[in-house]
Amino acid sequence: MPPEQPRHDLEVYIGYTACTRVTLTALETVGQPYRERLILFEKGEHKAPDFLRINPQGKVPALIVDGQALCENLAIITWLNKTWPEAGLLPPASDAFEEAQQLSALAWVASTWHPSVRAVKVPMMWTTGDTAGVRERGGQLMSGLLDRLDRELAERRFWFGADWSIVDSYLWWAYINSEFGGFDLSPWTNVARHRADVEAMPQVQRALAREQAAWDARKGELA
Amino acid sequence: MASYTLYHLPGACSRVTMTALEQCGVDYADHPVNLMQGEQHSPEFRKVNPRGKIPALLVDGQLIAENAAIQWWLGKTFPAAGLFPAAGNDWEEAQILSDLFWISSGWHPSVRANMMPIRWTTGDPAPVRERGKQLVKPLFEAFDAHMADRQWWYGDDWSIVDVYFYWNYTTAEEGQYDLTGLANLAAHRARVEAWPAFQRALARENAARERMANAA
Ligand SMILES: N[C@@H](CCC(=O)N[C@@H](CS)C(=O)NCC(=O)O)C(=O)O
Ligand SMILES: N[C@@H](CCC(=O)N[C@@H](CS)C(=O)NCC(=O)O)C(=O)O
Repeated sequence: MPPEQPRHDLEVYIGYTACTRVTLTALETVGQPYRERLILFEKGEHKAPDFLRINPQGKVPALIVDGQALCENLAIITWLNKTWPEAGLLPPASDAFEEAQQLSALAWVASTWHPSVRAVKVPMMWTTGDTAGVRERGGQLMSGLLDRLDRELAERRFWFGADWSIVDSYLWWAYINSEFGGFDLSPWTNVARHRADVEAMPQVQRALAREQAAWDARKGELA
Repeated sequence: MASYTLYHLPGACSRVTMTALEQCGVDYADHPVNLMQGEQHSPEFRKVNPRGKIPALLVDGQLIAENAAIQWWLGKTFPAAGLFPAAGNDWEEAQILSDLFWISSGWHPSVRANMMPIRWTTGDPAPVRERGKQLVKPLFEAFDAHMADRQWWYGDDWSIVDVYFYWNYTTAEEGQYDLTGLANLAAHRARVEAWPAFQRALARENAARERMANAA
């Protein structure tokens, strides 16, 4: 008999096309039952008192585990990976040094890619004035990051090697969001190949379907 | 004992890592990287950290990048140094990681808009700095409120997270953010500045500054 799986009550707060795609993909990879709650940014629900009680920062994702909240993608991923290590969110780490390398990769996406994507996609996040200069600067930052990623992906199929990990989905989320902001990704051919490989993963497809269904169920409220 | 080399710049966010190394009491070499002169883009430094960022810590020649990841690793490697509160289980540890990564992904990029607005625009930096002020204001106010009934972020005991917060608010101040009126934050600041490992890190930074000036 396989060892018994840990059981937790899981509920996740998400936004449409937001970085919560990474959390949803992580949950789909783990394969435990969970409920999702889509926040409508357009209605300011992330800054409403009900949600601020869950995350005082007014940001998604937030994962509610047995009634207690955990925020920040990276912390959620780490906890899911510790709790269900055989799901393969991250490659098995043989020591703290390898674990630190995984955290470092995740932190790089969270602290460098994500804010740069914001400059391209929602430049008004970084200025009270003219957005053109922020978008242009964001494009420069993204180009540098994509050059770097493209070089890495010339040697490996996925970030850590032959196998997908949640880091790939996080990178994927970041670069396709810059495309949503009008940034042209076509110069980076290895990134294009990576994109196709990530999108072919069944857990990614399930996460996208789940996000879409949650959005379809609520989008009428905005009309 | 492993060999440690820290790539840093006096005053930059690598100050947090340097304080962590001091707190752990390890012997380390330090190499200042002159960001003003673009040394982070030099082929030599790219060999150390291809991402072109400091802090970068070499442990027996192997790189760990990212403040948060370095701090976490030092915490695991030197548990007696008290960089973090002792976590009883994976959930408690995840909450600490959540704080750590909140600072690196939420605070630091917003502080950068205050201190180095040209990092976020090719145009007029003034409205970026203005936006930076709007972004950090609720963070600093919430921090001040959280500190009302405690000495340190986690309560009675210092942790490296305190130094990470400190670096962020003092750096925003250098970027013209006015911290007056945040009394609990001011008291926290004084406590961090009196912390021995922090003072040793500042002394080490000053020595590096002198070496940089002499080399110039
Ligand atoms: N570092 C955080 C970032 C979270 C974040 O920025 N979430 C965005 C959606 S992608 C959000 O909730 N934005 C709403 C807002 O900032 O008002 C994480 O990785 O969880
Ligand atoms: N998320 C990184 C940020 C590192 C970072 O932005 N370092 C700055 C100094 S505070 C740097 O190296 N800037 C040089 C550059 O970006 O070109 C970390 O926490 O280590």
